[in-house]
Amino acid sequence: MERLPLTIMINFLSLLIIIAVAVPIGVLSAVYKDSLFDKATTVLVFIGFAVPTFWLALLLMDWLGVKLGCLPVFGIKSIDHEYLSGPAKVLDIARHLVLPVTVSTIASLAGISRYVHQNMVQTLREPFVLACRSRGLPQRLVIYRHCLRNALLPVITILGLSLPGLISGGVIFESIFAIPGTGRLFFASVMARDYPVIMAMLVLGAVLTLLGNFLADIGYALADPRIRYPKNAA
Amino acid sequence: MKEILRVENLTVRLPQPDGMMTVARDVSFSLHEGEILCCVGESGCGKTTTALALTDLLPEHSRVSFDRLVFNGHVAQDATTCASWRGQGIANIFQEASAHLDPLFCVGAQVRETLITTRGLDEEAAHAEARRLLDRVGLKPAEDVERFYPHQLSGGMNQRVLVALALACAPRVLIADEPTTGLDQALRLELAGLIKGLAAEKGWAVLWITHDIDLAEVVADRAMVMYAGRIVEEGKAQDVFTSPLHPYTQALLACRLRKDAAGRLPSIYGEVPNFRALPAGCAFHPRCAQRLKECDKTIPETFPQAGGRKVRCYLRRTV
Amino acid sequence: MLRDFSKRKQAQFGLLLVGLFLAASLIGPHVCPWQPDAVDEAHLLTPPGRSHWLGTDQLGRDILSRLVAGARISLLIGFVVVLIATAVGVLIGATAGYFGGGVDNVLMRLVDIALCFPVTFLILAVIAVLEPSTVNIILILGLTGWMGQARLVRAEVLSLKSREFVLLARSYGASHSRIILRHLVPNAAGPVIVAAIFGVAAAILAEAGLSFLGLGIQPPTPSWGNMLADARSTLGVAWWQSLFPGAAIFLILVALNALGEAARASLRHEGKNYERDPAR
Repeated sequence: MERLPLTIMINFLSLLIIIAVAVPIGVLSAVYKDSLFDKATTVLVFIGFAVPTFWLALLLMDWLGVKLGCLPVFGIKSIDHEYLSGPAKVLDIARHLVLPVTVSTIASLAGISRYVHQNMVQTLREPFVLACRSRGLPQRLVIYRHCLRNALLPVITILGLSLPGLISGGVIFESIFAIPGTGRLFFASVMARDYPVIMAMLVLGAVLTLLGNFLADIGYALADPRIRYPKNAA
Repeated sequence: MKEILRVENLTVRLPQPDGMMTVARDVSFSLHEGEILCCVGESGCGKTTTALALTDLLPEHSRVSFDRLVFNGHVAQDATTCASWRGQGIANIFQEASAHLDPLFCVGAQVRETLITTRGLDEEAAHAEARRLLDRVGLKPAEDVERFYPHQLSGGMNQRVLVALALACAPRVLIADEPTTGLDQALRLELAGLIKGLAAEKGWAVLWITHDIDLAEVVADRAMVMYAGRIVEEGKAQDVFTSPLHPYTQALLACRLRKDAAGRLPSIYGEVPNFRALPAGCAFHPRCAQRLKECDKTIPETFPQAGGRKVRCYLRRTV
Repeated sequence: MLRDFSKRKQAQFGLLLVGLFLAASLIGPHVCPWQPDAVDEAHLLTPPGRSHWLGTDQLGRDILSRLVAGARISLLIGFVVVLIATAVGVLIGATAGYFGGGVDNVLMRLVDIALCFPVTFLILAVIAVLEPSTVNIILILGLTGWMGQARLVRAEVLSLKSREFVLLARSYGASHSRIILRHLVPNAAGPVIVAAIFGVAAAILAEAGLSFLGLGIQPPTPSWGNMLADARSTLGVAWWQSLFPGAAIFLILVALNALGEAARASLRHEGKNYERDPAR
């Protein structure tokens, strides 16, 4: 049970970073379609999709952790963690988290930014965008007030669906980085054939999936007036 | 009446997967205050493209060229000048109104937004003015309607919202691209009446695009006919619709849903040509019953006729 | 559409790479000088060199030949898994879409239930219960991957159902199964093929991950995943051991993704807009 907060924290942090990075990338690459930026991000996304996370983890650990020695590769606390001062403790944990969070972010980053990009491109083609521009509304307003909202609507669904990932996402990289989180717990129970724990985690996972779907539906209804107010002849 | 918009030899090329395609060629016309000019022609003849070109609303990579384009005394240097006219003197309304409104904002907010951004009104003034405009286009009671979202209103009501949005720009020219197409007959006349009334009241110059000739007969002061990207006839509406000079216009008018003497529905022989494979000379000549020798050699210029009419046809060549 | 597809650079690139891998996996084992299990005690953990082109691991096994053997397994698993997933998915999706009503509801609830569980957990749990063998891996990956195809096919069938050719077939008395198999499925093939291509990529990645964790292909049989697992213990010392297997996975994924993207774009008839003016 005490492992839960750690995993959740890592995955949550990961999610925040993903949103903060993927959404702007997706939006900007759509707005400046066919520019160098767009082409570069397309290639990067492509690579991001194909890179196996565990390979990336190993490579990063090898180069950054061992060869260059600038980041720790195992666990979340150093051996002498207890003797550090307050702020140093925080820094210590933060340094330990850099690699795991980076690795867990990259794959999803590619996916979400592509999704946002496609939605944005499609929204920019909608007739109402033409109508807005025809009234002389400045391009910035059209893109960031009208298009963005329309394009990001489906992203809410994605957020909801990523809820179960908060506890289950990390099996592989938790093993690699020796992080005592729920992913590794599950893996250990699987290896030890500890059926009660396995069942418990499966149920937890299912519950979170359902909850995530439910929240996504609610969130969508709140955000989209077409669902909030059913069609009625005024 | 004062001429407010003048177009000379506008040519538009659109990007296609297999190269640029010329969709409008050497289009010339002018709009006058208080006058409604109807542009008629079959689907795909270049009407909408011409309209969008006037305010630089064509898709990226399109190429627009013209000899002269003047609006309200301002001579356009290139497409960017046209872009500056959007909402600042030239307003547009479109077909399929529901698709042209942002589904996530209530209609009141969208009108207010235009008032604040384009006319520089402050919040309070915008609230009041938005209500007034919605009321003016027939959406009563405005306080209730303004809180509705586009999907909650009918197609006809959304079109009225588009008209209100055009009003919000306080334009001198209105470009109406098939605003009544797709609506029920009764609604169509109501809406047409609304637009015509507003145009008369505000002294707008209107470019009204439609492929409904019956409607054009009712609303137009002047009319021009387009075929395969060129204007083939232009003149006072009454002249064009009662005594058409160009064979295509004649055929078009004969095509309206009335049986001919033998009880058959008339149609025009042949098909609308592919823009990529236009016939040599006059684009209409393969389908023309009155063609002359020279019709398949060179493209006819626009020959002026009596009463301010113009026809692009060798039959009416003025020596 | 096939012509359009073959003209795209992405498709050509993808096909080339996949072809290379296929060729390597088929011919490789016969051409490589070393057996994948052969231990060369004189060359333990040696970097790439003349006798071992890609180096050896800590047990003295040649990495190149293991890579090639691993290619065989990974590609095999990838394709068979997708075959199963697509077959099941198409069957369920087409039936649900075609018959609609109660059948549709029941089948879609099934899909929803199947989608309920976080996939990673489910796969791990099942493998824990059964022993990790090639057959088991293929089965479990295939049976957790059909849902996407089912939904796709159902959507396509729903939209095709009311088209004329279906009514025509019904009117001359074609049986339901004939209509589904001969008419609807081929027409819905497009998106299914695209999803299948990405599915192969996902399956290969999943197998690699499982093998990495020790729940997939068991040593000494080489799989790219368990080769990477072996590399964990020599981290920082033998870069070649972690670079090559991972690069192999990466490259095959890139190739498959390129194929999938090209297929998707062809399906949507996307094209560049060219600036050149036809001679006037």
